[in-house]
Amino acid sequence: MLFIISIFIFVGVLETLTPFLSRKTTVFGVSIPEPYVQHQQLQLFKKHYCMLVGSIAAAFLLGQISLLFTSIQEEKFVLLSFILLFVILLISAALYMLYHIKIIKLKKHENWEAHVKTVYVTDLSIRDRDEVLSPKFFTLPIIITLALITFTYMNYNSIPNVFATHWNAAGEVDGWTEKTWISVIIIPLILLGIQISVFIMSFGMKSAKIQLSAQAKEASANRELAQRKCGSWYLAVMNYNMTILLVVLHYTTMILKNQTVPYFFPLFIVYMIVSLGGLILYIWKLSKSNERFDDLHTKETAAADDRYWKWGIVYINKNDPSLLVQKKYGVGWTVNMANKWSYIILLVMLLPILLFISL
Amino acid sequence: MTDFCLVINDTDWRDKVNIHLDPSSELQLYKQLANQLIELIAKGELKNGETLPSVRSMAADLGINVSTVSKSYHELEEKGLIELKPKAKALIIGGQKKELKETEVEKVENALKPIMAEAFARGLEKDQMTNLFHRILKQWK
Repeated sequence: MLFIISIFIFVGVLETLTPFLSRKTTVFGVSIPEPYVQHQQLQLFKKHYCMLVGSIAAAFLLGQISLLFTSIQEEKFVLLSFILLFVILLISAALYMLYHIKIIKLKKHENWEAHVKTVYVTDLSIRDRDEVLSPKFFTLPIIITLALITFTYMNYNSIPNVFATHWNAAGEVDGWTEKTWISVIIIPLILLGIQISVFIMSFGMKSAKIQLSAQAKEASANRELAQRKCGSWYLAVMNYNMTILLVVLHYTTMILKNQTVPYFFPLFIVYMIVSLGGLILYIWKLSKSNERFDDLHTKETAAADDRYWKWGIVYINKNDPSLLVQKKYGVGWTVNMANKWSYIILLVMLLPILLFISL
Repeated sequence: MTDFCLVINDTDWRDKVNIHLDPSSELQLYKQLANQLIELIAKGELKNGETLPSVRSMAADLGINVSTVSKSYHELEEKGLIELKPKAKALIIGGQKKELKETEVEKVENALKPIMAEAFARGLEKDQMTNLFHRILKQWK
């Protein structure tokens, strides 16, 4: 129960702070011309959003904590916690859309576009300073998984006819699956799908555009470089983390035929700590590197790409050859839906899961 | 809202290898990009033997069309300043001192003549013109 509460706290804090984690030149998914980044109304919108989401999340949290002192069943509690989590996500999404529309209106009403001068800027040395991890880094997990699949088939005959596929929190088996040529490799197959997607994405990260601002060029360069470096590192850590977890799980149950080893649960906890801790570290690094617009002295602004974004969330740009682009709202990357590789990624990721369902 | 004060001080932030294109200028974007790249080569900020970013990443970073960047790169290639290699590499081959062929010197002269003629016709003194020449040349050392 404490575990589920800590997830709730984590998501709540993250949802509350998201407006402040995005670039200063995009507020709720709308591009803000650089001379207007310090517009009071924008700060107010961000503050209102934070206060609303923060207070609702806090209220939900207090409710959950007070339930802890009653004799509520664990299952009921977990279910309730998940529902509240979902409600928080819904509320923040609704508020996001509300402020997204409000800012578009404000932008039109005050006619910002007419008061600024759009320019295209870049720094030719920026690509040399880029420290995104090379795709090579993402090949090793794929090799490990392929080796594991081969090894599983080499030992196919010795695998029992039914084997464990699900464990409860106490580490006891509560789900079994029948042996077939596909079911014995379903875990590595799902892993492989994710690994290949990440591998394709690692190319996309390298070629993704580096958007500099016209007036805070050095600061925006630093933010972009930090975001790219930390983002790719986080992806690599997650990739290796998941590979270790699933490989150990698969190897122990399939090859060693040991269904209830005491190290499953601690392994899972380590996995969660690395994932969440990595994310916190990543966000902390990013917020530290966020650009500042302290001395705005011209009315210039870097070209905005709003027309390629739907609701500030979905990116569709035929002119952009790269697969990935930095999210307009929040941290991380999103795919360019005009790039055919984005569909290949989706397919590769979904294929093993579809296979699993159809079994 | 913040009041704008337009400070004309472009040496302050347009330093080093920055590219800065102005779509409201009468000069086409591809021409602006080519001119700025040529100037960077002349200044020695882009050195002989270095490579330019690929057409794709240059277009992505600037937020302009791939074909625009490609047009500038081809212009630079025609002028013999870069060499377009496979794998999207654009190698800088200009920017070094070498003996120019007579025909190449003639080309420069032909390009320069109308500009100087225009300035002269508009009333610029020969002395002023020489000064202007030296001032520009000083930037490139």
